[in-house]
Parts: sequence; C-alpha cells; structure tokens
Amino acid sequence: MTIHHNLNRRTVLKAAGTSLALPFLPSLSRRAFAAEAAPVVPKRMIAISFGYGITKETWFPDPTKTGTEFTLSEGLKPLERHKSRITIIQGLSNKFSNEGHWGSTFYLTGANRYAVPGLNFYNSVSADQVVAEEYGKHTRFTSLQLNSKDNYESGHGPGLSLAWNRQGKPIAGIDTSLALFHKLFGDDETSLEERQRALAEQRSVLDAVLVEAKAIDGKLSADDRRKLDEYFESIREIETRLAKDEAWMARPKPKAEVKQPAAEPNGIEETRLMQSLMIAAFRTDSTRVITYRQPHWNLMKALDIDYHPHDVSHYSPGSRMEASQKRDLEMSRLLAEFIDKLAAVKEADGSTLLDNVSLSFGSNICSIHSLDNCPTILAGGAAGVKHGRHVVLAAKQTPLCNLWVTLMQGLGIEVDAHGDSTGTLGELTA
Amino acid sequence: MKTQSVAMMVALAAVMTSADAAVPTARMEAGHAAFLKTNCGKCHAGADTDSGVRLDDLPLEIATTEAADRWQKVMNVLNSGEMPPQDEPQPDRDEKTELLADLAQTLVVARQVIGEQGTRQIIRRLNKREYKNTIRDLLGVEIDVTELPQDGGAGSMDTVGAGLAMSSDQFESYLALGRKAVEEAIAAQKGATAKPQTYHRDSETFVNEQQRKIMKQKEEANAKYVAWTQAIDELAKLPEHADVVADITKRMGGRGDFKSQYYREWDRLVGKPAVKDFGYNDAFAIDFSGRDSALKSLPTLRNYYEQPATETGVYLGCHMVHNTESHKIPDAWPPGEYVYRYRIAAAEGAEWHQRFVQFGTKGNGLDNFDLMSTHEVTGTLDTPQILEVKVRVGSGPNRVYSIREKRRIKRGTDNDRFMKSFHAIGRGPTPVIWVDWVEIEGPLPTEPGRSEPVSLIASTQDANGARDVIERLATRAFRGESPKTEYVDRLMNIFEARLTAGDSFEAALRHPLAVVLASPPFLYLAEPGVAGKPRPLSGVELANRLSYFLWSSPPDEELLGYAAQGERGRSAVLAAQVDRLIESDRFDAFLDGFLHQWLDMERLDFFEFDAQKHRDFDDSMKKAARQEVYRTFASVLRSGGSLRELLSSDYVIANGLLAKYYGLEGVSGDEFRRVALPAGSPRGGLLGMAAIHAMGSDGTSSHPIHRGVWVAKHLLNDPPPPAPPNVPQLSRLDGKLLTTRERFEAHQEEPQCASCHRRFDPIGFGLENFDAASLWRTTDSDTKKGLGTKEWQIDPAGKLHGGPEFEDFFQLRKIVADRVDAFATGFTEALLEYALGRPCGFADDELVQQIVSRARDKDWQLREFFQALVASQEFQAK
Repeated sequence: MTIHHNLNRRTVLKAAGTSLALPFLPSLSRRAFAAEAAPVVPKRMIAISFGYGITKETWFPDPTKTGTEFTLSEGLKPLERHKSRITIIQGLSNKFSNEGHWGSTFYLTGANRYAVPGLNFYNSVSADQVVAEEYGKHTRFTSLQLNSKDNYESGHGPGLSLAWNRQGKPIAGIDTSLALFHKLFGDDETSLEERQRALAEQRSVLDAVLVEAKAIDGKLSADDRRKLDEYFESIREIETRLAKDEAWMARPKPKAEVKQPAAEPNGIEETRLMQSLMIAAFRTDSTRVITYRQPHWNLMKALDIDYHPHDVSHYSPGSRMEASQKRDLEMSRLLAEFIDKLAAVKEADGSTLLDNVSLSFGSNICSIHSLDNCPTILAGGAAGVKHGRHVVLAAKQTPLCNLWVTLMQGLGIEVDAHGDSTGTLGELTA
Repeated sequence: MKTQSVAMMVALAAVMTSADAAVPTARMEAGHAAFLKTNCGKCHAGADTDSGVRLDDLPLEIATTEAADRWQKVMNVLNSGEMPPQDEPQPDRDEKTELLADLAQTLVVARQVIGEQGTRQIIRRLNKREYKNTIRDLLGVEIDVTELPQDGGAGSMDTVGAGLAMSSDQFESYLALGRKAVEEAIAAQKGATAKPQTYHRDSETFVNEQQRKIMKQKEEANAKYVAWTQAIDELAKLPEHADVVADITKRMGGRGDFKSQYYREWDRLVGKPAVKDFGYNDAFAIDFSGRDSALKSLPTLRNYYEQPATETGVYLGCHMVHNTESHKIPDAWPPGEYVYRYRIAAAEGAEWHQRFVQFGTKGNGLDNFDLMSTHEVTGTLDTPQILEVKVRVGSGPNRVYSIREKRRIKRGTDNDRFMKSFHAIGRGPTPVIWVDWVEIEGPLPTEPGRSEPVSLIASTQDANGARDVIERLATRAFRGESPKTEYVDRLMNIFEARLTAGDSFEAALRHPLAVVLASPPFLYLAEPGVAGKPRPLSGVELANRLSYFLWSSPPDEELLGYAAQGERGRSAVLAAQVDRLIESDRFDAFLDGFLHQWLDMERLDFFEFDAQKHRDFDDSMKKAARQEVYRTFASVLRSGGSLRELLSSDYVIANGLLAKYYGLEGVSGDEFRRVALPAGSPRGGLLGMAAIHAMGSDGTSSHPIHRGVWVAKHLLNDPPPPAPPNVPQLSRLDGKLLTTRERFEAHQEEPQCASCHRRFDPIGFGLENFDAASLWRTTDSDTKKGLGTKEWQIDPAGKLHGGPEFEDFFQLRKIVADRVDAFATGFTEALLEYALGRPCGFADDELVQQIVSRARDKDWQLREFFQALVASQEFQAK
C-alpha cells in the first residue's frame, strides 16, 4: 500500500497529465483523414459474471468431445446459432478461492483472501482495471462497472462490482440500466463557463478537506494512518478524474441512440437493457472496458421461480434442479441475444462490433458451491481467440488467471502475470 | 466476532505454553499425520513426488498463511471426494469424519491466530447508520442514505474500523448528501418559526361522489349485460341448440361457473344476436365491461354502501372499492416533523387479523407499498379512536403518506384475497376499517431532551455572518474540535466564488457547509495516539465512544458536560450515564444495530412468506416479530433482568398483533408490554420467538439445518466452521416422499457431511414443532407432484453431539438454558466487537472472562455486561 501523506495536487496533476491522451474523436478524425488512412477501430473488453454457478450436469458439453467436434449441452442450446462464434473452456479455477458463496469477488483478480496476515480480507487488482489503465486513456469513462440490484443475494460475494483497483479496494458499480443511461447520455445543461467554475470549486473542496485530513493524520498512530490513507487515496482518484473531466469538458456527451429505460424492469428486461446500453457505450466510444455482475435473483423472479437463489444453487434432482436449469437456459438465451446485437453493429472499417470485442462470460462458482471448473464462455475477436471450439484443459486446475493473461495479451496489454497465473493458454489462439 | 469458545479450544488440543498465554496455537492432533501417511503417502511424500504435492512435511501447527492454504487444499479435496482417487483404497469413514471435523475447526482458529498478528485498529469511519443519525442530530433532518454502500459483511460488524472503507465514489456521495442535508436544514430552520398548521379532510365527500358515479356506470353496464344474457337464454332454449348446450354442459362437467362459460360461447348459437343491438361495440366489450367488470365490482360496490356510516366516513376495503387513504403534506409547508391523525374504527364482526391498519408510503405501481408501521384499530363505530402517527419529512417530493387495511405488500396475494371472496360470495370482502376524518398537523417543535440542531441561519448576511455559520457547524460536526483557520479560509473562498458568480447569500453558503460534512474530522472517529503506548481517553473521546456505542450517534449536551468535568469521579458518573443512555429512546439505534447483526437477523427479510400456508405472517407480522427480539432485550436490560431470560422466561414482550398471533388473550394496542404466559407455553426466550423460527425457514417450510446452526452459533457459542465449498450433493433421495428427518439425516452418512452436521442437525430437529412461521404444530407433511402426500407425527427427540439427550422441545430448551455460561461468553464477544470497533481476538479472553464473571456474580444481570465493558481499561483507553 502506498502512502500519500504529502500529497500535492499539482504533482498528481502533472503525473496524470502525462498519461492523458486527447479525447478520441472518431467522426472528426474520419472526416479529416479519410483519404490518407483507414479508420482505426478500437478494441474493447467485457467481462460478465453471474454469481452462483450453473447446473453442471446439463450446462457443460461432454468433456470427451473437444475441439470443433462438440455438441452444445442442453443448458447452452440457445447458443446453437453462435456455435462457431464462441469458445467454451473447462478446467479453470482460482487456486485460493475457498468461499462457496463468492462468485464474483475474486473472479477477475485471483487473489488470496488471507494473503496479508492481520487482515480478514485482502484482494488485488482485477484484470479489467489493468486493461482500463491503457484503454481508458482514450475515453470519457476509463471503465464502466455494471451491477444488478440483487448483488449480495445472488452469490456475487463481497465487493461493489467486479472491479478492484490497484490497492485491492472495491470500485463502485452502477446498479440499474436507468442510472447507466443517465451516466452515458445525461444532459449537462450548464454552460462551459459554469462547468469550468464547478471544476475549480471541486478542486477547492479537495484542497480544503486535505487541510483537515493532514491535521488528523499527523496525530495518529501508524496503524490508524494506514486506514486514513484510503481517504487520501480517494481524493487522489478524484484529482485524476477532474483532470480528465477538464480534458473532456468542451465535448458534449453523445446523443442517446437508445430509449431511456423504464424505472423498474424485471430481471430479464434489465439484462437486455444493460446489453443495449453497453453497446451504446461502445458505439459512442464512451468507454472500452466494461464489467457486469448480472442479476440472478431478479432473473429468477422474472421466470416465476419462487426459490431463493441460494436454495437453487443447492439443487438436487427435482424442482430446484429444474429451476436451476430454467435459469441456465435464460442466461444462455440472453447471452445469445447479446452476441446477436454485437454482431449486428457495423464498425467504420466494415467489421462488426463483435469482431472488436473480447467478451467473457462466467463465474468463480461452478455448481453447488464447487469452485473448480469455473464455467467459462468466450466470444468476440478482439483478443485473437479462435472460436467454435470446446477446450478441455489437460491440467484440471489451470489458473483462471492464465485466461485473463491470455486475453489481456491478446488485447495488446503488456502483462505477463496476473493474480495466481502460471502462464498463458496458448491453445486458445493457436 | 471471535468464533471460538474456550471449551472448543481445549477439545482442539490447543497447547497453552503457559498459564497466562492468551493466544492458543492452531495445531492438528498428531494422529492425523498417520492418516495422511496411510491414505496419501503413496503419491504425496518425499521431495520428488510425481504429483508435485507434498504432504509429509505439512506442519501440524498451522501458524502461517502458507500452511493454512496447504491444509485448506487438503480439506477441499477430501470434501469433494477428489482424493484419494476412486481407484485407490479409501480411508476409514470414521477417521475421515474426525479429521475433517478437526481440520475445519483448526483452520478457523488458525486464520484467527495468524490474523491476530495484525492491528488493533480504532480509527473508523462513521458507518451508514451512524452517519444518518449524526446528520439528524446535527441538522435535525432525516436523509435518505440508500445510495451509500452497505457496511459490514465478510463476517464482521458494521462498527469494525478495518471493514469501513472509503472510496472516491463514496466521498462524492457524502458531498451530495451533505448538500441535500444542509438545504433541508435551512428550509426546516426557516420554517421552525412558522406556526404549526392543520390540514383536515372528510374524505367521504370526494370518495362518495367518485364511487357513486362509478356505481351508476356499473349499474347501467349490468342492465345491458342482463338484457344480453336473457336474449341468449331465450335462444338457447330453441331445439336446434340442444347439441351445443349439451356439449357445454358436458364439458363443464356441472362444475364451476357453468353459466358464464355458456354465455361466452354464444357465437355457436344459430341466429346469434347482434352485439350492437345491445349497445356493445364488439364482442370483447361484452366480456370486459359486462361480465368481468360489472359482475365483479357492482356487488362489491353495493355491499360497500350497505355498510353503516358511509355518509359520514370512508371504508378501507379491498379491490374495486375505496381502499387507501392517501394524503399529502402540502408542498408549501416546511420540512420538519408532522403528525397524521385519523379518527378510525373497526366494524362489528371484523376478524382479529382485519383489525389492523398499515401506515406507509406508496411506491410506483400497485405492487409497491413501503410499510412504516402497523396499528391496531380498537375503536368501534360508536366510539371511534384517534390514531396518531408521526413522520419526519424533507422538502423532496415524497410527502404522501397512506393507511390501508393490513394486507400483503405484493398485490398478487391481495388479488387472491378478492378472488377467494368473489368465488365464495360473488363479491369482494366486506370492508371493516372505517375512517371518519384525517388530519395533518405540524411542523411540531423539537422534542424536549433532543439536541437543538446547529443553526445555519446567519446573523448578518455578510462574510462575517457566513464565517460564523461555517465555524459553528464545523465545531459541532467535528465533535468539539475547532476547525483549522486555513480550512475555514478555504471554505470561505468557495463561498466568495459562489457569491461572485451570482449565487444568493444562502445558496452560496450551502456549498462550503456540505464540505464540512465530507471532511475527515466529521467522517472519522479518530483518537490520536502512538502505537504501543496506550493512554487514557480524554473526557470528550470517552463521551464519543460511549455515545456511538449505545446510541450510534454523537453525545448530547449532558454527556459532553460530564466529559468536560475531567477524570475526578469519572467511574461513578460514567455508570450513571450508561444507565441514562440505555433508558433513552435513542438506545433503539443500539437494538437495531447490534441485535440485527449479532443474531444474523437479515435472513428474516429474505423471504416473502407463503400466503396460503402462512396467511398471518405478512410484512406487518414480520416487523412485529423483529420488534419482539429488540423489545425483549430492552425490557430485560432496563428492568435489571438476567441474560437467562433471553434463553427461557415465563413471559413474552408483545403488542396486540403479536399476542394475537401467539394466541394470547387480553392484549391490544401497539405498545409492547410484558405478558405472562400460561404454563407449558413454548413461548418465552429467544427459542420461542417468531422471528427466530421464521429466519430458520425458507418462507414455506421450516429449515432444521439453519435453525440448528443458529442455535449452535448464537446460544451455545459453538459456531460451526463456514460451509466448505466442493462438497458433493446428495441426490439419491430425490423423487420420494420423505419426512424432514429422513431428508436431512442423509447428511450423517457421508463423512464430509457428518463431521459438521452431527453438531447442529439434532438441534434443528428438536425445533420442528415450530412451523416456518413459528406456529406450534405436532404433524407435518410432504407433497410432491405425482407422488401424493405423506403426513407424519413430528418427533423432536434427539441428542446433542457429545451431550445429553432430550425428548422434546421443552427439554431441549432446558439444556440450552442451562448453558448460560457459553451464551454469556458469545454475547460478550459480540458486544466487545461492536463496542470497540475491532474483532474480538484471543488476547481479549481475559477481558471477556472478567466481564462474564462480573455478570455471573450478579445472576447474569444484563445491565452488568454493559457496565463491566464500559468500566474496562480497553474501553477507556486508546
């Protein structure tokens, strides 16, 4: 943990300034340079998790049929039309996971909860945030974290979203499609001058609270100061964001191409709305990195399943297993729709959005609180994965983080290790 | 919370190196090494194993994270059955059970021992509850804090500093909430000088006009429909229609609504009548406005007006008639506290469960009702009562409050209520709750004894006036610490910049004031100090700790007054202050904060209870059941009672609603009070409470495992280790009708299940006489599609693992109640964690035992736990 007791806004800004590239201006650049060069279509990343796992008996394809010669299992049937566009992987897990109710907490981090003696809970940076450090330079939002309203009850585990920052602290997420809509397209009706003044005021606010923060800090014991660091860290993050806001200030938010979502959609409608908004966010290049903790309980409620998600996750043959399978099918159906939508969007160079996205869909929990064989589906062409295959890894407990390293490298991020990774999954791209 | 009892530590062969060593070692019994050697040694021994996993050098003492992780892996593969591989010899069942039981428990200890090398963190952010309360104290306004993330989780209480994180999003939420609070406070303070106003409505004027208009339309629709059906009847009599009529009659089998089906198939008749001749636009309109609407609502409306006193008041009915009284506090009235007053009565012949109204706010759509409180209606039409409910409102749009007859929140079940009645008597249920008039009055003056909010009204509208307000708020918000001059200067700059930009004086002042509420001295309870050098707390610091412990809010003037007097005679004054704080209404914040977390009561809100099976366990009853736990604790504490009364007592603390649910007579009204129990009652003490059993259910059926675990954890202080991942599912019993016992006893067959389940399943079975909603039963049944129904006599008899046998619930309750020592230890550990804002560790054992023994000497007086804790060195020093 770094300590920033003598945090000086100016130095922070200077540091942030160097890493801030100019806003990406597709329309302008296209018009200006159309004659000279083909437009560059950016790569994007989406990671979706679904808390409590799936029904392993009917979700995984037959492990003896691998490569292109596999049949989609019952639970994946709705993905039939995308069979050549997806990859299903078996044999991945997070080595340190011991929590059978935490499907999302360590999903993208691979951390050891007990890594730091004296702490009851520890986490490390999530893969999406590593990608966002690079991809986020070009967009208004460095990354977007999406949630559902039933996070805790759905087996996602502790955390505020799938994303964890460099300090291993949870990053807040957006809980509803309506809130996401406002974030992406909400009109700022104030004038540029007013916004500049607001920005200046925000900086004055940070300066003021730092006076009191430093005064307290000086009197505290070392342990207590470490706790107060979170406050300094928060202020530093806002400083960085304000610098970015400043760079983006003159650019209005894009016009919404989707309708404003209804206030209280059910779990199925909500997932669809989030899908459409994710696509809208990419189309307007508002961000290039998105994570989503899907609804689970609300999805089940929309399917008229009366059980609590936890009870369903403890399924055994009978009505709870049927409920679990019904939910699996709906998740597959929604994923298939999402792939349809991604494939339907044409990019400037004639490719589709699907070609330029790396999509992963899975959970840290497999089935009935088992943490081995994390269910994993990949789609999209951005990370160079060769699709249409069922990959059953030779080593039964290959680190899930090997997948994240593979995808990150495929996305052009210079990284050779993440979480508990031991290497890459070369077979995905070969 | 420390999840480990002293008794258990001995059983674990934890080696104490000397009498005063507080921290045990987490050590596996040496015998287990032999198990590993025999069962795993073939592939997992020596430095050059092919498997790459070596177990022969696994240390028996688990003292490092690395060792804990390796043992955890061993547990995981044994649990999942992955190891030893299927084609290898399998370990002895009993040995495996013992190894897993020991390992699971030792790992819990190990994680704590390793964790204990860490910190004694005291600085902490105000948690969500404390933040809300502190704002209310400071500014006199109630703000909605739902946007702040939930605190606590990952196994610790929401007062534990280590778990109370800060993020940039949260900082910005504090700024936004602060602005809102300041804005409301200014509006409320300006309004405080305004005289209280009164709004009075006799709703019947409006309701009757509307409802009679609808009734008239329905009468006309009905007349049309009657003419139509008569025409069909005539046609049907013709001989050429005999076949059609016979067919419909046969298909309906003489059951149900024969005639309506018959009218629906009118177009099968030759020479069918022209729809338009009867005044209908199309065939659809016949069903819609004729059959469905007129036939259902008209009789219901007629019935409404057959009731007495409809010309002087309104009834709160079900569907199709007036059912909710909603009234808005006028927008022009300032934020503040208001009272809603209803002159109300229940009609003769109303059943007990109908004699209650719900008060709350209506959300979007028919399904939503935000239930705030439930009230018993004791007035009669001859002598109505006046019901008063107080609310605190802000300046926002949510100013509409409603009452309605007690019912389920989800509309589906209310619709069921209507349909059930419709099928039985051809209309909705007879309304029974009658309201003469509604009054709203306010704003009410600040309650005596409450701190006056900080005045945000500047004495002069200039820089000096603004500076005064900023300093005044900051000094109170920082709990007595003066703000730094540089800080106030910077806030003044923000104010000045706003003024220059054209803001009014008041609008410009709001922004710097909101910043105060996002500054560290407000958000953090910080006590200066140097690691390793304890010092006594100052008077103000102690007052803060005490107040946040017992009120979850800042100290009042009286407490601060004592704090200022210095250390002389502190202990006597302190004890009296502890009593005073406990007596106060504000102690409710402790009940809600501590009991909810200590007893894991969040589960009570998980389930919507099955309306068919558990009609009366609705949202109102759930709230009453929760209150029973809180009120009982408060009553025992305040009356000088003993902790033993929480385990077993000859009385309950109940209000009218709960007493009626329990079948206790002679209790009415909303106040919780002490009610003596008849001999042989299963009620009295936590094990007789509705909330506890409802939590141990899934809303439909009882869940013996949840109940057993809960009792082991909270009453016996013998918490089972966390549910392990990767345990195979039991499936061989599916597709059979089984008793609850048969279903769950399968857990005892597999070693990896039995190692834990034998500790709590028998307790859960002993509580099976309580159904999911806590009502007493002697039989239970299982129904499965295609298999029919199986009914059985409940057999609660059992035996605690390694402990005594019991015949029935009463004997089980006695066994649990006799173990008050264990209960007291667990309670003290939880109280310590909550009060000190850090986990209770092994190093705290001495303190825990001190507190327990002080209480034991006073026959477990509940108050003594609080006094002993506050009097301790740990509480009074940094």
